[in-house]
Order: sequence, then C-alpha cells, then structure tokens
Amino acid sequence: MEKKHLLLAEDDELLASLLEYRLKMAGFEVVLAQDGKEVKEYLSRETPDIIVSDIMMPYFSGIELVDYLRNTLNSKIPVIVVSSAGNEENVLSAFELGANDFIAKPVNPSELLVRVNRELNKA
Amino acid sequence: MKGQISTYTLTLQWNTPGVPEELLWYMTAAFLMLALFYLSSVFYFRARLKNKANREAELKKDLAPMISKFLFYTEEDPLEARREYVQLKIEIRQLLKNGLTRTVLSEVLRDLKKDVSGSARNELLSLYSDLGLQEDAIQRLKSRRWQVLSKAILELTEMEVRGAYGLIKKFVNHRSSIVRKQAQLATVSLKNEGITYFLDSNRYQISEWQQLKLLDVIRQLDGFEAPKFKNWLTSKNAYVVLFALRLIKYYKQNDASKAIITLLNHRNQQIKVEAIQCIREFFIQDAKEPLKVAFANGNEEVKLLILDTLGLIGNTDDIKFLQNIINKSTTHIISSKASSVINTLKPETILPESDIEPIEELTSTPTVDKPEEMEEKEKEALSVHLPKPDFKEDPMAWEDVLNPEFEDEVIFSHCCLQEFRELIQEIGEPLLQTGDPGTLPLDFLPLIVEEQEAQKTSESQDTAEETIDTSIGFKSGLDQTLHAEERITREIEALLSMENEDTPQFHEEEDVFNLNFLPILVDEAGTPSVKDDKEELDIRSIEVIAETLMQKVPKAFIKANRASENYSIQVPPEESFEAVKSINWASIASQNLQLTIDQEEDTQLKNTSIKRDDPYGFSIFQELFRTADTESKMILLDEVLAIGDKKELFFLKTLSEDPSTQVRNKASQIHEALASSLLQQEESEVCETEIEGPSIKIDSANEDTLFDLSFEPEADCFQEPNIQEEREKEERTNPELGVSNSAGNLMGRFAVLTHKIFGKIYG
Repeated sequence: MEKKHLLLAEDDELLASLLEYRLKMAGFEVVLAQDGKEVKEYLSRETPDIIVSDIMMPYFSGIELVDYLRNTLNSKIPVIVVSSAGNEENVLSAFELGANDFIAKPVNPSELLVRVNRELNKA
Repeated sequence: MKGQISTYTLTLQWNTPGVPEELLWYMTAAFLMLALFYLSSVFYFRARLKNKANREAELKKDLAPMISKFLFYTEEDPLEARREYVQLKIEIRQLLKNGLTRTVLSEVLRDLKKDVSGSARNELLSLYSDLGLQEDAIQRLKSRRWQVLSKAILELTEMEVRGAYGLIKKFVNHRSSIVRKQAQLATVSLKNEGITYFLDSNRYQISEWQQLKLLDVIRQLDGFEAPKFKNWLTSKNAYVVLFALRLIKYYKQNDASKAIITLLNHRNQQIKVEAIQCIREFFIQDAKEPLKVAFANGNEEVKLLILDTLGLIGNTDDIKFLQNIINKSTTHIISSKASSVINTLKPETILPESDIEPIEELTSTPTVDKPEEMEEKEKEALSVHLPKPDFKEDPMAWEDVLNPEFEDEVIFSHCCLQEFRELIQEIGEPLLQTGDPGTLPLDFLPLIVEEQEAQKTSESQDTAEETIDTSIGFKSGLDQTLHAEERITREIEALLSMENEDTPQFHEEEDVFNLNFLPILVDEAGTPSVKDDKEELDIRSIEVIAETLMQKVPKAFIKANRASENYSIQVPPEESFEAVKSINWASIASQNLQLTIDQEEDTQLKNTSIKRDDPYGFSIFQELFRTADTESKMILLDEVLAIGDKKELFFLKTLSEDPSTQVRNKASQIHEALASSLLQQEESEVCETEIEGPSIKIDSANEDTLFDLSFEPEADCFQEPNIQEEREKEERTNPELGVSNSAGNLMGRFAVLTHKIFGKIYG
C-alpha cells in the first residue's frame, strides 16, 4: 500500500519531532517544514496528500498558506490547521479561506491522527 | 579684576604632576592588560554560553526522537521495537549521568508537556518520574536562593510530582512572596487537601490575583471535592475569610447562612460586600434585618449593595425603611437607589416629581386645539423658552401668550418693556394714554412690508387706503411714527431757534413738495396748546401739521410698501395702522415744544437729542470701545466726529468716566464738536427744501396730499448716504444756503420733515 504524503509545517522542533514520529508510526510519509519558505519550496516541487500546518509560523503563516493553496495554486489539498486555544479569529479566517479542519494546542497526537485520516478519507 | 587675577594665578599653579615616566608606562600596560582580560573573558563566557546552547540544541535534537519513542511505546509493539526500547532506556540512563543532559531532558519534557495532551502527556509525566528527574528539583528545594526555590517548586508543580507535596507545603508561609505564592499554588494543585492546608496555615494576605489563580487551580483539579469553606469564615486572617466567602459562593455552599449574616457586621468592608453577595446568591431571607442594621455602618458600596439586595429579597414591609433612607440620606445615589428599590418592591409607589408642571397650569391651557395651532405652539415652545409673563404688568392673558399671533408681544414684553416705559416717560404720558396699551416702540425692529401688497397699493391707491394690508409690525410702525415724531419735534425746535420769523418765501417752481395744505395751517389757529404768546401762532400751526400728518401717515405707509425687506415680525396691518394713528402727534409735539421753550436754545437741543437717543444698542462705537485700547479709542473718537450723529452724543458723554485722561479729554472735545456740527447740519437741512432730492420726485398733477409722491425706487434708491452726500455737496457748493434759507422757511423745513419721514419709512 502506497504511503500518504503529509506535509507537517511546524516551527517548534520538539513538537514537530513528536508528531512526525507519531505520524510515521501511523504509516505516513512525513515531510517537515520549519517555516513558510520551506513550505512554499516544497509545494513548488511536490504535491502532498494532506497538509498539517501551524497557524503561527515565520515568514508565511498558516492562513497565508491556505490562501496560497486555494487562490494561487488552486489546490484542493486538505489542510488541517493547528493553533493554540484562544486564537479564534485566526482559526475562523483559516476556515473562511478554505481550511478543512482545525486542531487546538496542546495537541493530542492520537486525535490529530484521527482527523488526518478523516480528511484523507473525505478526499 | 581681583577675581581675574586670582583665576590666572590658579591656572598657572596647575602644572603637570611630577609622575615618573616609567610609572606611566607601567600603568598603561596594566590598563591594556585589564582591557584585554575583560574582552577575553567576555568572549570566553560568550563562547561558553554559545557552546552550551549548541550542545543543548544538539541534545534536544537527539533526545526528542528518544522521548517520542518512549512516549509512544506500547506493550503491543513488535519484538524488535521492544528491544529497541530497552536499548534506548539503557542509553538514556547513561546520558542522564551528565548534569546538562538531565537538565535538558527536564526542559524538553516540560516543553512538550505544554504542547501535547491526552495519553502522550501522561506518558511524559511518568517518563519524568521514571527517569528520576524530580530528584534534581527536590534537591534544589534546599537552596536558600529564592529564585532557585521558586523554579524548583514550579518544576515539581508542572510535572505533578505529588510526592513533593510534603516538601513544598512548608513554603506556604515563606518570607519571600514569590516562593510563598508558588508554594501556595503547588500545595493546592498537588493534592486535593492542599487547599485545606493552605486555608488553615496561611498567615499572609492573599492578593486578588493570587485568589484568582488559586481558584483556577482548584477548578482544574481532577476529582476535587470542595471542603466546607464555612469552616474558614472564623479564620483570624481576613483574607482567608474573604477567600472562603468567595469559594462558598463559587461552590454554592449555602449551609453557612448564620456565619454569612454575622459577617455583615465585619469591620472589613470587602468582607461585608462579599457576605452580601453570598446573601444575594443564596437568597437568605433571614438576612433582611441584619442587612438593615449593617446599612448604617457600611460605606457607599455596601449601602448600595444592601439596597439592591433588599430589592431582591425584600417585600413591601421594607418600604418604610427605604422611605426613611430617602428622607435622611444626603447622598443622591443612595436616595435614588432607595427610590428605585421601593418601586421594585411596589411598582409606581414613587412617581416622578422634578420638573413636573403644576396641574393648574396644565388645565389652563386650551385642551382642544387645531392641529395647525398645536404645531405652531410646539414650534414656539421648542424655539423660545419664555418665562411666564407677569400678569400684573402685562395686560396680555396667558392664553394670548400661547397664541402665536402675540409671540412678538411676548418677546417684547420680556425684552424691552422696561426700556419702552422709560422711553414713554421721557416722551410724555399722552402717548401712553392715547395709544394702544399693546403698542410698543421697538426702534431696533425692522420695518415690515409685504411686497405683494405693496404692488397692489401702488396700482390702486384708493382701494389700498381702505384695505391697508401692509403687514407692518405695529411695533415697527410705531417705531417709525416715534422717529417721525422726534423729527417733527426737532424741526419745531429748529424753527423756534430761528431768529428770523418772517413768512417763508416759497417759490412754486423751486418747491420740492407740493404743499397744498398750507392754507389750512393759516386757517387753523384756534388750537390752544402753548403758553408762550410769542410763539403761539407757529405752535398752533405745528399742531395742525401734526394732526394732518397723522392722517397722512397711512398713505405714506402705502407708499412704503414698495420697499421689500426681510421681515422678522408680522403684525396685522390694521394694528399697525391703528398704532400709528393712535399717536397724539399734536400733543407730543406741543409737549416737546414746551420742554424746549423752557430751556436755552443751544443746550436744549443737545439735551433733548441726548435724552431721546437710547445710549445702548444704538451707538456702534459702544461695542468697539469695550475692547479697544487707548490708542484705538483715540482713532475711534476721530471716526465718531466724522460719521457720528446724535446717538453718539450720549455715548461721548459716558466716556467722561473713561479711565484714560486722554480719552476723556478727547471725548469731551469730540462731544462739543459733534454737537455743534449736528446743530449746523440740522440748520442746513432746512435748505434742502430748495434742493431736489435725487430719488424723490414731486408729482405735480396730484395735489391732494403731501405724501402723494410718485416714488420710483431705483437700485440705490434706499441709500440714505447718497442723499446725505448730495446735501453735503450742495452745502459745499453753496455754503450760505443753510443760513440764508433757514431763516424762517417753515415750508421748507416741513418739506425736509416729510422727506425724513419717507427716509425712515424706507429704512
């Protein structure tokens, strides 16, 4: 069975490492991106099956990423945004721009896995 | 000089100190070495810190996957994974022997704990405990440094090391507030019974922020069973009592009614407030009477809260108490609150009282009005808030006041009535007796004429005479008549002052006006009004002239209708006509004449002029003088002489009290000069009988009346200054005109008089 490509955009190395490990355990081929630039570079080269992105990132926020995907690349790749609790406005903006799902920090890795699978199944 | 010398001396004494050159070199070398040492040490420590940071970063990178493996390891994993896990454990044990690695691992776990939740979080906590990282923190609890202590307590609290509870709780009353607060939070969060210990043992004050944080910690405790917080209402620490009351309210422990009621009498106002809040929360009916008792000793916040609570738990029995508060309270907010509470307990007990009009006044107003009238009244009420008229002085009824027809009268009665009465007294009683009591002189009001009606009257003079529909404000009309009357008086005075009493030589071809009523003057000689025999004939004649004028004035008004202006006041034309007609011209003229005869001619003319001129509101210089400085006043005085008239005479007199001597002297000079020039001007005006005005033409065909003049208004026909200029020009060209022709030319003067009346009519 072919592994699904997942782009994980997260600037916190520890959390990124933890989630990467968990997602790899679940059978995903995970690509880590530390900031918006890396995300854009990767997207210019590859097309992941799903993107998990933190909203607060250097250079290129999660909202901008969603906007870039939906309006510039006209891509329908599922996007799950990760944001800390109380960042309601950003989350709503992300949803308005076309984000598929949202998960709040502190992240429950198991929950994230469920949501990722659900979005992939939808697609 | 002395100081300078000493300075030089001092300067010269300052010589280079006698330091050996070698010592200087040594010192230079020493300073250089110190600088090098300082710089090298900076670089060394900086490099060391950087290395440490790099090592930590590397360690974090190495440890992160290890931690992930630990976190997500399960017993169900394949054998290979299990072997890997055991290998990893051994490896990490080796790493933990290094202090830095322990520290980094602790940090990593603490960081991750913030970002992950669920089972991963629990695994992190157990890993921390399994690796024995808490031992380091517990060791640090022995430190005497408050920052180390605080950090250690924080770490143990974050990693939920319940075993450290016993060690931490003793810091609850630590002298350092930071350690103490951290210990309080740790005590409360590590064990459910921590709050009990804290409330029992706390000796210090608990800040509002700390109370909130403690409450937040308690709320997040899993399986927390709140103790009976009423037990701490007896605490000697007021802050504990306060916090307990808040906890009672939060956890809705309504079994402490008596204790809460007792706390209503606590000395601490904050505890009182919190106790009242509890009473409100638990709707404690028994607290009604204690609340009333506590009201006396409470501050404003407490009082308001008690009143509010009485509104919530009270009933109509408490109204008396509230009424008492309203009567006795000096604070508006308290009495207002009490009123509102009374109305809450028994709606509409207290009705609005302030600014409510008495019922009598309301009933006196017409109950049924036409919609238009009502609208007008509303407009009136909105536009002008007039005080109630004084019924003793003002003959108008209040109903009349409400009638928009009389709004001008109302305004006048409140603005100018007093001035008017003074004026009447000056002019003479006859005006008041014969005139309509409602007719009032308003010099300042403009003449009001309706343009359309003026056209009608010009078309048909006869019909216009019957239906004078000129809407002249009767005050304005009267104003015109008064001015005319004044001028008549002045003319009479001028006549009397003339030495030459010869019959005026009046050449028909030179006449400006067709004075057809001249024979009447000669025939009417029987009117006895003046005592002086010498002047008897002229005076009688003047009375007749005045009477004639009275009859002719309406026609003048008809003519005046041609002039259209902006109107501010509309008065029925009948009233204005009546007002004008009602003036007893002859009486006024004779009385004024009598006054003038009794005095010397020159001074008499000045005085009468001054008396009749209202000093305020007429002289434009008055306002300018209020704000002007002395220099400006001097310039203005020159202007007064140049353009001033009789109005300025009084004003100049008032300047005799000016603080500046310069102004006073000049004012008196200007006064004299102006008075004399005005006298000359009046005398010279007589000459105008022989000078045809630029805008007035005599209609020789119509010889019936004095005022039947074919007046042709031109673009600048209302410019009185042009006429004045013409006069001045004539005077300049013929300087003797005024003197020679003024000698007893009665008809000429009369022509001037009519001319002036016209001038006044046309504004």
